[in-house]
Parts: sequence; C-alpha cells; structure tokens
Amino acid sequence: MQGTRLVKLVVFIAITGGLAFLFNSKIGDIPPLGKFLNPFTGFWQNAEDVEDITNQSFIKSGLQDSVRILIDEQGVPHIFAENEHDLYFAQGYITAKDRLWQMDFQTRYAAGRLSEVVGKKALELDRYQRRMGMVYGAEAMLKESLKDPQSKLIIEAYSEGINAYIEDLSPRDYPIEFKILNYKPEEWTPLNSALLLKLMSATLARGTNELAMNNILAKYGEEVTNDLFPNYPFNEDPIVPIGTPWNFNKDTPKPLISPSPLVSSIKNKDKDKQDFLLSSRLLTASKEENIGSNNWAIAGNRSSTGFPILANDPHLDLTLPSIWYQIQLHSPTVNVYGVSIPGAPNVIIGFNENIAWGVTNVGSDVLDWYKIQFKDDTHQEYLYNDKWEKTSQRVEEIKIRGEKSVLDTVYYTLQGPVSYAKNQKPADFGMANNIPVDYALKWVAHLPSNELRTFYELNKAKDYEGYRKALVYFSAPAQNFVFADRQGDISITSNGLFPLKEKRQGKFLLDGNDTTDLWVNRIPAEENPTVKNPERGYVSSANQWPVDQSYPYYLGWEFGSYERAHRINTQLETMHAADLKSFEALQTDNYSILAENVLDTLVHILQTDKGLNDTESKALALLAKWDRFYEANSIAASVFDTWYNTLNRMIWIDDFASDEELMRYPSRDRTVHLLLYEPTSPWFSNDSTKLTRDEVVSASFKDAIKQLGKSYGEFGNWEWGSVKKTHVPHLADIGGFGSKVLKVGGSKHTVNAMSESNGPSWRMIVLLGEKPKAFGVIPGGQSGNPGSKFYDNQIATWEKGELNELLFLENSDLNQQGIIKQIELKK
Amino acid sequence: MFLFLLIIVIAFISQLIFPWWIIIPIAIICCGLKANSAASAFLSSFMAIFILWLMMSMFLSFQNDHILSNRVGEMLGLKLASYNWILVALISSLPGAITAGFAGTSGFLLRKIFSNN
Repeated sequence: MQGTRLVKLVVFIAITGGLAFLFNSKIGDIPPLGKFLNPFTGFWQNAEDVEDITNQSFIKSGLQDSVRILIDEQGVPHIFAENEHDLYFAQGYITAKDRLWQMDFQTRYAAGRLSEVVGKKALELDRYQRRMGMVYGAEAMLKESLKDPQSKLIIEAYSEGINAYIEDLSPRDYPIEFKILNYKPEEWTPLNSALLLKLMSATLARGTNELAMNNILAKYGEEVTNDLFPNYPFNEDPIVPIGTPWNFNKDTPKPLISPSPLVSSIKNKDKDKQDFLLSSRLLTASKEENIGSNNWAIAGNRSSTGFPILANDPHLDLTLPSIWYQIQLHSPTVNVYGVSIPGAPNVIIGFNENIAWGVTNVGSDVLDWYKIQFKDDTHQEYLYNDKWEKTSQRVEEIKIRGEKSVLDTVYYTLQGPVSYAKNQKPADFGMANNIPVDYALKWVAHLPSNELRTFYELNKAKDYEGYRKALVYFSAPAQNFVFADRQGDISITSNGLFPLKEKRQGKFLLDGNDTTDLWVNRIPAEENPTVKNPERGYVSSANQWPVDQSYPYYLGWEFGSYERAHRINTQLETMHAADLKSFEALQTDNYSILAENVLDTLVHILQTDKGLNDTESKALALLAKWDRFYEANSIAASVFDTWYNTLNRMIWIDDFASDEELMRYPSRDRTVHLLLYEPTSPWFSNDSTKLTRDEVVSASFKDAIKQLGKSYGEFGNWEWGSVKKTHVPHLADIGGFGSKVLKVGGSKHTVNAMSESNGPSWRMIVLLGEKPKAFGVIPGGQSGNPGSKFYDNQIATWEKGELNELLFLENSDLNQQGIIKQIELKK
Repeated sequence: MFLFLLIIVIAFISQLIFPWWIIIPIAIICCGLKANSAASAFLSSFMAIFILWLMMSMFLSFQNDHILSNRVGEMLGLKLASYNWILVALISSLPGAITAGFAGTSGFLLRKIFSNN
C-alpha cells in the first residue's frame, strides 16, 4: 500500500516538475508557455490600456534638471528640457520606452550578434556582418565622434537615458518580443548608436555589382559591356539642372594617381588577372534597381503661401515597429520636430522654426573590391606594390545561444577587410553571393566620421549658411539633402564623402597589388554637387544622377533610373501656386513614365499579332486605352507590369543569368532603348531560337496573361492592389504582428514608389512661414508594442495617402490642444 | 470550495511578486494541508489557477480592446475571428492550470504518505 502511494507520489511530482520545466523553457521557436502566457508577467502585461491618460513622474539621478515630456494624440513625445544633456537623455529615455526591442534587435543585426538570441540559425548572417566590417566601421565612427565634445555629450547622454529606462524594468515590463524570444534587454552603449547609423549605410550604400560586372566583362568583352552597361544613361534628368555652372577652384584636384582598372589588364591578356576573373563561380542574383526616395522644395514665388514648401518621402523596406520615430526636441538652444532613428540621437528628417530639410539616397560608388594575393594559406602577408605586407587580424567572437562561441578571424589589408578568403565563404548564404573571394573591401562606411554632428547642426540651423555648415560633417551613406528656409532660400546638395576616382574606377573588380588602383583622397566637400535657388524655382531628387556629364569629378557609373525624378520635375514645372494639396498629390502620384515610354510601341506590336485569344484581346484593349496610372484598382497596371517584367526577363535571361557565375541584367534605361530603337538587335534571340523583337514582345505578353490567370484567376480579379499585395511585415516576421494587405497603388518606378513591402517610410510636407506648418505620416505608429493602439494607428491614414498635421509646440503647457498626457523626469 | 478560493487568493497575491511557477509550491502546500482526495486536490488547483488566469487575462484584454490577444491569436495560427481573444485567454490559462493540478495532487499524496506513517 505504502509502496504504491510512494510510486504515485513520485510520478506526480515528476510530472509537476516536468511541466514546470517544459513551460519555463523555449523549445524551438515556441516561447516558454508558462512564462509567456501567464497574465501576471507574460504577454498579457503588454496589452496596454487604450484609455490610458495617466500622467507619470519618475526620479532619474542622471539629470541636471527636470524634464517635461508631453505626449500628443498620435503618441508623439514633445520633450522640453532646460539643457542639451537632459534633452538627449530624455530622447534616449522616451525612445527606449516605445522602441526598446527594435533598438536591441537592429543593433544585434548590425553587429552580427543575432546568434546570441536566436541561436545557430543566424550564424552565417552574423559572420557576414562582421566580415563586412560593420563593427569595425562603427568603432571608427564612435572614436571620431567622441573626439568632438559636442557629439560626445549627445551620444553619451542619449545612452544614459536609454539605460535609465532599462534599469527600472522588471520582467513583466519587457517588450513582448523579448518574452517570445525569451531573453533580457541589456545595457545600451554609445557603440550601439554608431551601429545603427552604420546600418543606414548597409541598407543604402552596400550594394555591389563589381563581381557581376567583372563576370560580364570576362564573358562578353569590352565592347558589349560598354554598350549594354553604359556609363551615362540615355534618359536622365539630373538633380543639379543641366547647364548649372561649376564655380570650382581653377586647379581642381585630380586623383593623385592614375589607376589602370582591370579593363585594360584584360585587353593586355594579363594571364594571372584573367584567371581570377574567371574563377568566381557563383549563383545568379540581380540587384534591385529601385532603392529610392523622393524629395523636393519649391521657391516662394511658386507657392501659394509666398514661402518655400518642402517635401520628402524616404523609401525603405517597411517594417513594424516603424522604421522612424517622431519626436519634438525643445531646449533653450534648439526646437526641432521630425523623425529620428530609434537608437540614435537628434532628428534625422524634419524642420524647426526657420528651416526644413529632407534626404534621399545618393547611389554613388563608394564601395570597391581589391584582389588580394596572399603569400600562403596563413594569410599573414599579402602583395602590395610587389612587396609583401603584413595583414592585421581581427578575431570576431560570435556567441551562440545554447552552444559554444565561434571564433572567426578576419584578415585586414590596407584596403580593408578580406570579407571571405578562400574556403571561408558559405555556399548557401544568399547575402554573400555577390562577394568575391580573396578580395579586400574598401568602403566609405569604414572611415572615421561624425555624422551625428551633421544632424545636431541641422536641428539648430537657422538659414542656408547653417545648412551648408552642417553638411560638411557627413560621410555616409551619401544623401541628397534638400533644404528650404523661411527667408526664401531653397537648395539641394548631393552630400557625403565621395572618393576621388578616375573615370570608371571601381566599376569592375580592382587589383590590390597595384598602387594606382587604390583611391586615397576625396572630392572636396564644398565641391560636392549642389545648387541654390535655381532659376526654375524648385529643386528635387529621386536617386537619379546628381549631375550631367559636365561635372568634373567621377561619382559612379550607374544611379537610380530617372523616371520618378522626371515625373516630379514635370509636375513641379506646372505648379505656380503650390500648396499642401498639390504636394500631397505629387507624393502619391502613380503615373508611370516607363509606360509612357514603351506602352505605345508594345501595344502597336501586339496589335499586329492575329493569334490572340479572348483574354489576351481583352487585356490588350484595356492597355491600349490605359491612362498609365498604377492605381490600386487598375487591371491594366497589373497586365503592363507583369508583361514588362516578363519581357525583360525573356530578353536577358539567356545571356545574363547563369547557374555558374553571378551576372546581372542591363538597366531598365538600356532595355527601354533596346526595345524602342534597336528592333533588330541580336539580344532578342535566345541560344536555341532566332527571335525577333516583335516575337519576344508577343510571347512575353501571352506568358504574362497566363501567369496572371494562374495566380489570380478571372480577369476581374487582376486589380493592381491585389496583385502587388503591399503590406508591412514585423521586423522579425512574427505572425500576427505585421499589417494586413493594404490596397494601395504605385509601383517601384512611380513617384508613389510602392512595392510589396518597400515604400514611403515617412511622408513629410513642410510649409515654411512666420510659423512653420507641417504634415506627416508613417506606415505604422509611434509605439513598438503590438499591444498598443499606437502600434499601427497611422497605417490607415498612410494607406489613403493622407497626412496628419504635426503638432509643433512652442511651450510645455500641459493644457493645450492635442496633448493627452505628460511624463515628468525629475532629477 | 474553500481550497479553491484559498489557492486563488494566495496565487493572486504571490504572482504580483514572483514568477508564474510560484503556483506550484502554493498548490502543493494548500492541498497538502486542506485537500480531502486526490481528485479534489487536482480539480481545486486546476480550476483555481484556470479561473484566476482567465479572469486576469480577460480583464487585461478588455481594457486593451483585445488588440494584443487578437494578434497573438494570429501568431498562434488561429483563423481571424472576432472571438479569438476568448480562445487565446482560454488557451493561455491551460499551462498554469495543468501544472497546478499536478502540483496540488502531489501535495495531497505527500500528506498521505506522512499521515500514514
């Protein structure tokens, strides 16, 4: 009897213990269920009270004075501090309160530290980030920034503020993703802020085509390469208007050295070099042509207010929590409103009482690869200028959750890190596809820089002089800074550290032994492309070429295509009393310049094809009378888009894609030219069959109709909004935490640049004046908490293409229109 | 019923301070002192924690307009529906309830062993 009882007891205790253990452990991707589901400390604690308007007050020993933070109806904080230290402290504090997990996760992503929290599956990604020198670059930036007392004060105060928030957290308060992934927030360091700025460079200026270009050059030779990958496009509408004089120093500096890119080496049949050109065996990947953004400003004599109006919408891969965090910073020395990067101090895009500014990316060539010849497999020495030089080594320790750390040694030459030496490159890791083996990476984002100072100065700038002064500090990622002030000046500058290069230097892979291949100097900052108050009365950019071919320096050979820029300029040209409405309409403009360029020709070709079936004829009839707007309910847009993409693929896939080596397609600009003006080009044929342009156009059309039918069924279901499926996913792709599919128009090449989950991450319009009036919207919300009503409350407004008026406060009075509560930080 | 209420009250207060597994010692001790049978030990503990967690979850969900519970429902793979938050609350209450049930029974069995000696 006693024995059975004992057995029973042991069994029940064992089950209890087993359940306790099971429900307290993360198994695979399933969070620890007891920890996660219990309503006292689990996810239910993240279910915020939607009616919450309770004022809060905290004592924070790090402050020099008290700070008042007003929260408005959109959840936007307005910080009122008595000094700069407290201002940035409070910015760190309040940003962490809303976005702590996002800050933590993005920092880990940038630093190659994701394996610490998600385990081994992130190992190759972590290795990649470190081997690309992300931490190396962030350290260089931090070191340089800390030399500047102003930047030091800001970045340190900001970190203190974040940590002041973290130290008060108990497990029940952790953001929900920490609970799902089962880890804890860690102390914030200034290096994290630097890493997030490096992440901007990684997103916007780490694209690399050199390997693909080299493979193409090796396969087709110089003539074909130059023909299909020209150094200036057929269609362009540059940022600095054509004909603007360059008032530069008479003795414009030249590159100190005259490099001989590998192009010439090939001509010389240099055996060694040719071998390594041909030895890169890689899978195909084509680079996106459409990383982009828009900004513009119009002069007072063309606006309805008599003052300039400025607009900006940076396009990025959209995520929830939102990429940007809206904030107003107010202290005796600054009063600025705009969006910030969660994890970095200051406002990045915004306005103050006097000025407004915005940015778009400059696709200049700031990243190059140098072939390194190691003496032996120890990688201790490499050849430079025909002499053996010593490499330096950086040992990266990658900690892995639940496993032993991995030590990864990266070799650095005077050019930079050798991202993957022989036998180091993983075979099945997509991001590394375009990285050549045994090459050193020279990238502007590795150089010491102090971008923080640019934003600090812009936040306080009063006029054009202040704007120009601020830009000098900015290295990477190079941006087109558009500017307007209430005195009436408008300007745009393609700004950043541009290497001083010989023409086409770095279009292909470079030789690490050759001293003349190495670039060492920069284009003088004051001679970066810029224009102030141009005669046409407006400035704009949409990632296109900054300049025409009269600019004396080399910036790169390929920029974003001109379509969005051309549409923007065409529309601005017609505006003589621009106002909020006309700017709003332009930001959400879905007109396709691509269709304007090619549709008539394509339709005309199709109309001679007598073999169309019913659906095909119906689709063609629709296209023939299409107004060329990518509206959400347009079926013609779906047909055209699918058709053009299929056509593009059919033309190039047999020649510029291969399982064996990385290649890429010619640009859209070049393809359009081929379609319109080179109907007999041999490129329309494929290897086995001789095809004419018209045959390819017909075949691609029929194929496109088949694809649409297969994926979306009946003709009536092919509305562009349903085909494109724009949505905003969660940053870690957690189910249920992203948005639903949104019904929006636009395409990659329209001003309203919207694809599946890439698009306007912030739309802003600022009407300058005695007092600025500004409008904006983010595709998400202020809070990073999926359990907050502020997580995605702006999406519906964004989807409709509308903007919210931004509350630009002059004083910290709690009882003013639009304020729902306050948070006080007392010293 | 007394046992059930006792566990609810003690579990509520201690969970404001301690992690979720504090319900294990609570169920063991309460049932060790007050349970009459293994079945009542299991049921009282199970129901106490189930009801406590369910009530607490529902309270939090209501003041949140069910924003989060609907998202978590989607995360758990539930088809979109307006009553998802209730399902999520029910599911949420199970791990604690089951654990408490076994813990309570263990407590009862433990007393049996000592009381017979």
